[in-house]
Amino acid sequence: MHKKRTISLFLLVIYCVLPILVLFALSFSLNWVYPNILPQTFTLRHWKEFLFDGNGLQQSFFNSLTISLFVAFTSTLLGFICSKWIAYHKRRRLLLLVTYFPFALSPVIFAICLKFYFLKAGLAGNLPGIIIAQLIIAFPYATIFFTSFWNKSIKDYSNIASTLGSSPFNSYLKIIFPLAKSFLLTGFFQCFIISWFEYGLTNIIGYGKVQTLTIRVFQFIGEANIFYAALSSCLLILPPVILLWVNKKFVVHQTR
Amino acid sequence: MQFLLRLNFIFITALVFTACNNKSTKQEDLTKLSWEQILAEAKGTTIIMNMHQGDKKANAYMSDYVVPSLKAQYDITLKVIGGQGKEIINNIMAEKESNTTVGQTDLCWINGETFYQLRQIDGLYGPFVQQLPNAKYIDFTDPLIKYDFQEEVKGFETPWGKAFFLGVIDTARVKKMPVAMQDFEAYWQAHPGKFTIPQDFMGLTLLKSWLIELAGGIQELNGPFNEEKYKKYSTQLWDFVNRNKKNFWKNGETFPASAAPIAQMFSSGELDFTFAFGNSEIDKKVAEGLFPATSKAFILKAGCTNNTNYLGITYNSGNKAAAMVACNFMISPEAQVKKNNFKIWGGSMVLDYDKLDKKWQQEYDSLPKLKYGLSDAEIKARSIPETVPEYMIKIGDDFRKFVIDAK
Amino acid sequence: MKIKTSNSISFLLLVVFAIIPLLLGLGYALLYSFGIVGVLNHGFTLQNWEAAFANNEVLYSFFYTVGLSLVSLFSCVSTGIFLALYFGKKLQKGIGSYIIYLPMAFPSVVAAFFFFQFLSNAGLLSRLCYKLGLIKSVTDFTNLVNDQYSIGIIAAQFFLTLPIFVLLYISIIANENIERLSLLATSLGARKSQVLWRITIPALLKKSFPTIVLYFIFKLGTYEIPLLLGRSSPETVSVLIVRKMQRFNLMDIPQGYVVAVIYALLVIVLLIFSFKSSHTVADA
Repeated sequence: MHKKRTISLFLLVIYCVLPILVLFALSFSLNWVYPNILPQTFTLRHWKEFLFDGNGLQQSFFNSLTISLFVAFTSTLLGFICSKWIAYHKRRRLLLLVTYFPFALSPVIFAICLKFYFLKAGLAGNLPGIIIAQLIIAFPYATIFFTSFWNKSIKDYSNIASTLGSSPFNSYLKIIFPLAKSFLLTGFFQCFIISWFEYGLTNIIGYGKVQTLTIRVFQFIGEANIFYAALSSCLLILPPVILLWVNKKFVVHQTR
Repeated sequence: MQFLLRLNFIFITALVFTACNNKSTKQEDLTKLSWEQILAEAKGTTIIMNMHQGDKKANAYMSDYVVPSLKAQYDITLKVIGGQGKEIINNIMAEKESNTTVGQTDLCWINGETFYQLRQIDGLYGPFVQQLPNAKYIDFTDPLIKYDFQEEVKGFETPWGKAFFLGVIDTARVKKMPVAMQDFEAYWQAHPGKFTIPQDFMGLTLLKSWLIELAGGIQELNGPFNEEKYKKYSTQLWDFVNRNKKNFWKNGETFPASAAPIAQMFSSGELDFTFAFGNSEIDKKVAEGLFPATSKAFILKAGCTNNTNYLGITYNSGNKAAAMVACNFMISPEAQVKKNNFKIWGGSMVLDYDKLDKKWQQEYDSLPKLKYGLSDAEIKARSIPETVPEYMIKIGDDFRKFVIDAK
Repeated sequence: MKIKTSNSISFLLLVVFAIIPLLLGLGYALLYSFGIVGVLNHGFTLQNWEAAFANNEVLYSFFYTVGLSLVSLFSCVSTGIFLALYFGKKLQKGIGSYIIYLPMAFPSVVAAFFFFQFLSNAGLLSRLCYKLGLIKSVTDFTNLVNDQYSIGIIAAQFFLTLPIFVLLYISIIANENIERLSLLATSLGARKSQVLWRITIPALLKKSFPTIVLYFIFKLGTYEIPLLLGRSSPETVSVLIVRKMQRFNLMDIPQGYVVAVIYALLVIVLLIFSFKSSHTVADA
């Protein structure tokens, strides 16, 4: 029984780790002719080109980073404010339902329908446009996520604080933020990842002009250039892996 | 209640605003300027070019040669983004609908049905080609340049490269070269699962070649679109494909979206056929180690479809002057000869050899010779022009309707 | 005073970022599908709606997408429950608890790319089989991607969504006294299998139902994975819509908007259903 469990666990580990290993291996190879399992030649060329900015990959990486940080920060902040209003509203469930719609729709389809408006507003094909477009899906998510924070006990704490003479600003600073810290951090990471992973919406609103990392991966796949696709994939996975690790290790969840 | 009312009002206003929009765009008229003035206007600006990015070498040619040269010689920054026919049309349409005065892209790499559709929606700026100084090297009376899929170009796009549609096989695997449709059918029955048709320009050209073969030759389908003829021959075509598709790759249940994976599958042995749009494709891929040295090109029975691809300037480009300068550079002898070198990109030159200066004629002659493709004479002998774009468009739609979606 | 301003700000934010885009997008798609806007459209017409349903392509696509989502979800839910029940402890501490998060670091594009390289005829699995002597050539390997059973798509989606359900069920088990309930049942004489099938699993499913419906809705809109791993026909709804927007025949473009409207309505209906059937607020 014990043996079975260990084997199963071992398989699980392989299942989770194998993709990363394969992607890494491919990013270091030059060709991978059938039927060899390992690539014939190992090379550092692709990574060197990345570090010295061949192919504009560095630019794409920083584009993605900028966009995602912006979106994560803004949506966390706005979501936190808005979620409080929703949580204590008497029509809470209706408002929550309405907030769910934009988040539940496929981003690609949403982007196609909104392209006209972005063009008219001059927000197509540029960084601000993409940030706003991604906010349209990240902000509702943040709002929904934070709504579960504002439960009765938080309300009680703020009430007690204001009865005892604390200004709203102070109670935010000294009471709410410390309690919300882990929520805020987790929410920030989740919004970052939503924005970081986004392809369809970014491609349509950005016209392919603002090249994020996900767009580059698609481009390399289209070129049948699997080695560069693997490299960009590794770059794509890296920040989320770090974020998830930080989230798991340092952020303690209260109740979900 | 009030909340809902307010919401409704916003909704309706937005709809009304969307539905009636009647501004028109003004077009810049550069035809009155001299070339020096155009160069001056283009200096220090940035332009965006839409280009099909499925070919590594083509991308490298642009990023390693054209972009730096434009910057160094004319102080123009060129950014290349991906995008083919359908995407380009889609984007231009969206911009027309939203009355965008300054477009997202300036240049696009187009031909055939894309050109036709762009002209349909008035999406191109022109005529501008005659203003380009390097146009003097082009023979505009050549029907292959004057007509793009049988539509007169009229200076709305400048020729950039020539292409010939060829089939490619590995003589080590395929003993007898199939040329006619019956040969293909026999091969598929003997070796199932080794052939497929991509859903892009390449696949459609193949289907069109078969349509021409069924019609008995290009003369039958020359001239304006004939609905009856199309119906007659396309029914036979879909019959042919449908009764054979069980012997295609993956039992004909799926077809690759583009031609890029087909070349890979050809080299891994998963497919026995691939196709190419240029004489130099095979040399290029053999040099890369992708194709085996036993590869050979062949011409289909219908003939070797010849077409030219062009560069167009969008109707609402914010930088038409720079776009013209870039076009001019790309049809310069220097750029064209370099492009013709299969070690760099490959593909035929659009410039008339006889009109070139001696220096460039010598450069052209000293380019590495092709070993695996067909000779110029062979290609010329079997060349056929393109049909009108409607055939391509209808084939594209019907391929999906009658083959892919057919249950 | 401060509360009033933050309330109106919140209201405004909700309207600007959540409500308006939805209405504008839906409105635009509706107008386009009826021919009222669009460069080549000529005015109100029902022909786009008729054309979209003329062949069965659209209907097939919806059925296919729904079926695919159900299969994908079923596999995630059942495996998630299994792993949470039998490996719960191992996955809550130590290396297991970190490893299980790894697939969540993958975007759809990368998962699709990996599974293509892994499962395609010239992929890693095929090469392993070749080396083990199970197949003799590239073409002998069974179709696992771009295939009629959508195995590649299901595998990729399973890979991405499994951790979410495992973590969900682990937390439900921890927080909802499932163990106490099953202990109680056992002490009352129930057999192990009875406890499992009559108490544990129903309780887990009931608690996770809103999340399941939500992920079902997400899977309906899946785009990148079927784009790379699916076959030409039938396509999932998102892929179909995007393709219809980029037709060779420009007159067919409004049909894409028709499908988009239908899809949006379907999502709205499902969301309302999900909300009505949950007593507590669903967290994402």
